Amino acid sequence: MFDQQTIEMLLVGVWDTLYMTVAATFFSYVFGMVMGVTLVVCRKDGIRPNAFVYSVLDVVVNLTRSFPFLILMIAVIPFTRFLVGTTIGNNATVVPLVLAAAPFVARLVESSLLEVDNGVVEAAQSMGGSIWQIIVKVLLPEARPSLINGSAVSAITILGYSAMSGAVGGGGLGKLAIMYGYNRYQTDIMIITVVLLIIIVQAFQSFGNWATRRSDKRGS
Amino acid sequence: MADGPIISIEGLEKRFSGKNSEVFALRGIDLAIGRGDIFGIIGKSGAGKSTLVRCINMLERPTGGSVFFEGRNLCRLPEAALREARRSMGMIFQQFNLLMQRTALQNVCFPLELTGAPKEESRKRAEELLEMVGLANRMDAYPSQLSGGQKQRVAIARALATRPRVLLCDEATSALDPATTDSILALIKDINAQLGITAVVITHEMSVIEKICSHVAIISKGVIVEQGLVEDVFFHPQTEAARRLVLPDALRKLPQAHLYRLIFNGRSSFEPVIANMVLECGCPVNIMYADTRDINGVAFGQMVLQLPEREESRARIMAYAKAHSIMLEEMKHV
Repeated sequence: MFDQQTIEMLLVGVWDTLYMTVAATFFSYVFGMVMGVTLVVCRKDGIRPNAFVYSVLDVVVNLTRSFPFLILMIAVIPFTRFLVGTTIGNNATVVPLVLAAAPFVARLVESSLLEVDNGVVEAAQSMGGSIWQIIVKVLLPEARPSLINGSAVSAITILGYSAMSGAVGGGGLGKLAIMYGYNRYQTDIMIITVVLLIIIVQAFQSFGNWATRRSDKRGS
Repeated sequence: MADGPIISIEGLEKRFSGKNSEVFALRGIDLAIGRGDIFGIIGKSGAGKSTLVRCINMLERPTGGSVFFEGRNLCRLPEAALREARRSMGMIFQQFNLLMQRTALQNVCFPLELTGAPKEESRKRAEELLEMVGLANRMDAYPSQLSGGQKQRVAIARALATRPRVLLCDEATSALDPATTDSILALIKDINAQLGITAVVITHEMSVIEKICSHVAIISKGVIVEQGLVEDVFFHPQTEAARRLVLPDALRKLPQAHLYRLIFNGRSSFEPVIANMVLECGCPVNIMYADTRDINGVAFGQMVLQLPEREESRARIMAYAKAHSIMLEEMKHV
């Protein structure tokens, strides 16, 4: 139904989308994990309460999260140019994606870590565990299934953002859908990109569910 | 130093400040816990007993007073030294607090990991401990695959991993059924006897105190109202709170006049005390309540008797009791 060229274009689109999503998810976790852990450690009943750090981080996260992604992407163009030297293409898209997703990831990580029974943290404290040990050996491993589940949710959200980025210079399936489907009324391309996106989302979610189940030792 | 108390608490106070109010969870607590004792702290929920035990290892920071562990004031220790001290005090909890994503063996290895002990060595020690608590065949099970009693055994093994000198038990049997409770208590007693580890046992059940404790402190509304050897508190409860623990609440509904409490120890249990007394004194007594208790492995019985109205008869019975060294005491305000 499609010619060789269109198929190639779609394949490149899939690759670009996956590339942006995976790279942005990775970097979002690098920053989001640190922020999420800090939020949990510094909250009022955390292991090292610090009202100042907590409220600053809390406000920053809320602020960044309330930006509509498209606006954020345009707003950070100078920063993106400074970091990667260009404002279009996959690598350039990863920058705003990370900026938008890291606070979201921070919240997900925060809520995952809060699920860890406080009693277990206390037990570790009673054994003389340091804050770092409690983070690395108690909070993160005990929250592992929930963190994995959260990372599937994050990846899917980032995938959605990346599709949006097609409107202002990003690549991938989003760009194809907008360029061909919307601007050129090629409904068939639009439909196929949407179907491809659905398949990718489904794959992420199924893999996330499978990995979560596999890693959780609580269930019977 | 070796003969002094292993833990001594002086003037301990814990105040929780709310927005407009201050609540004293603990006030003026003085306790001395001797090396090798099994020291029970009993009180109703909300009395402050959990806060007290958590102040012993600084999970809860006292707002006043001091806690000395082997002569060092824990309230003044810097963070790193406190962590070190905590390793000498194992703790077990009502909800076990095991790491759910680790096997039993990995749980027991956990405190050793925190100290940076070599892996092989930790593993060996953990295996020994799990064997000691009777879980040699469940080492690779996850907590979700274990029963409550088994989980508490893992928790005990874990608490012992760093060779602590004190074991703090915060309502350790309260989530367990009676038979499992007995087996866990027996294990704690064993550990105390074999390893010489001092145990601090927090509970709301008198039976737990009676079964394993050598000493008891009764806490009520954040204050220690009575403390001493378990037998002493059982024989001669001095305070309302102590009497309530020793006698059932239902007794309050009985007529209050001329009630006496009779205590049998292991020896007198073999003699028909009441029958002899009634025959000898020639006046009847009314048995209102009776039970037996196992205090540190010795059976003790107690009875609540209503003695006759006539003062003369009562005097005769009292004289008989005295002559036969039967412990008989008038109960005032049950």
